Amino acid sequence: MTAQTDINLIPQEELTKRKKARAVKGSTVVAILILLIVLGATGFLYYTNYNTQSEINALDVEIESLRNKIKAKSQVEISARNLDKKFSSLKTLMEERENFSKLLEEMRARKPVNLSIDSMDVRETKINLSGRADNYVSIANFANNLLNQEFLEGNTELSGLFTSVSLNSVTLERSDNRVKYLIIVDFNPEILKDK
Amino acid sequence: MPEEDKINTIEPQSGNEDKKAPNIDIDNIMNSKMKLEPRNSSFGLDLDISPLKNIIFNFFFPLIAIIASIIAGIFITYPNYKKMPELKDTLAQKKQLRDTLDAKISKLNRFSDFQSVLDENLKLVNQVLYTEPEVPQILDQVHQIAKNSGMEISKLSYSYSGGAGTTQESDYNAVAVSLGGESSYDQLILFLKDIENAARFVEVSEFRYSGGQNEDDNLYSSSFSLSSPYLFVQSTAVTDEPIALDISSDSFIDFINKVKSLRYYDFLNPEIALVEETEESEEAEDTEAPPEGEAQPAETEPVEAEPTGE
Repeated sequence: MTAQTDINLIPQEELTKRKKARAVKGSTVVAILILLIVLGATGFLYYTNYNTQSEINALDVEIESLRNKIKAKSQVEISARNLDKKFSSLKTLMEERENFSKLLEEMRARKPVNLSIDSMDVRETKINLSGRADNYVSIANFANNLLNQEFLEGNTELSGLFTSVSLNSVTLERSDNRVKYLIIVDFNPEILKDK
Repeated sequence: MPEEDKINTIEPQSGNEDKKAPNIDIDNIMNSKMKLEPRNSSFGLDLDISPLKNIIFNFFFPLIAIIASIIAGIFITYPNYKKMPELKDTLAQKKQLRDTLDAKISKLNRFSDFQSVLDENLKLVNQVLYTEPEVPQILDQVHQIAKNSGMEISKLSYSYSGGAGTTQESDYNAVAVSLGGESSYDQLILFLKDIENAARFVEVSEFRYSGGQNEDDNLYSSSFSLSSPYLFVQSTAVTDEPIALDISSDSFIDFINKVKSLRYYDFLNPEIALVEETEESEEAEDTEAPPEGEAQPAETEPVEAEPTGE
């Protein structure tokens, strides 16, 4: 048996040519693929944008038509806006108003019988109260009643109305043996509002 | 110069008798490359651009494709890509505007159908929150309420100072009313209740009362600082803005019912004395005011108010 050996008879130039041809072919395919991808993406984006733009144009026409309809009813709109502004402002004012009649009623409900209120000055969240009582205990009871959140004879909705009571002065009047007092009461104005 | 690029040429033998066979190296010729281009450039530089030309010639189509891709990418794809979110945003905004306008036109159509209700409600609201100060009307209302509650009026005056205020929706002005009188505790409560239920909106800013001269009759001197806001609104039609008002909403119906339940006071006393408080007189009053805790009735000259028929 004679030994078989592979003899490459293709000339080197031919091999180079083939290599070159392969490289050209491969790069052409890759480049065309890239081009196709770019063109595809461009087409997609262009188509999407075109559609969106068309939709926007259609909406513009629709909006313009609606605007014209609204403009035709401008008088109704003005009336509605006037009412809305007044309604909103008045609603806020009503909700923020402190109803002092409730405060006076609650004060009377919590006042002991043997104590009288001679003067009352209500400003912002403070009440200056002065009056006379038969004894010191009545004044103490009055202060306790004002702060008692479970006071039964009062309005349950106003249970936390009075937040603090400070006794400013107490004087025993010799003439009629009664006690003169001056107390400062803090109240929560939110409770007096109609919300 | 590389060896393989050399072309061996045999110089013609001239004048040589002893002629030899020409010495031609075939392999060398076969392996060499023919240089067709001039070796020296016109600038005298030894630049060999033939490989580049070869590359350009061989890779003509791939190069064109890549360049086309780059150009398309830069001038078409990227601008479109960049434009896309902008257009989407615009579209979303336009859709929202269309929906808003759609809802608004439905509302306006509804308002048109119920124009009389709208006008009536506006009239009702204007009777509670006046558009102008209308001082005689507010003084008359306070006067009537005070009289109805049994209060003996000793002072009734007004001023424009310090009455302005603001709500979340708008700024308003107010007429400040000072009222002084004598009443019992019950009458005081009744007066405050009537003020709270009166049609024209009045707010009690502060009040004081104290045992007066008629202590035996259980009468107290009282003074009130009242405030009655008024608001002039002049809206304009803003096409693209929605209208918040919903006349069929529960809150609006409740509100209108509440307004309807308020007590309206007819303007009975157009000749009511209008005493305007100036800032100087207010300051004087403040100086004369008793210290805290010992509130006294205001010592200003009582203003005779015409009786209202009671």
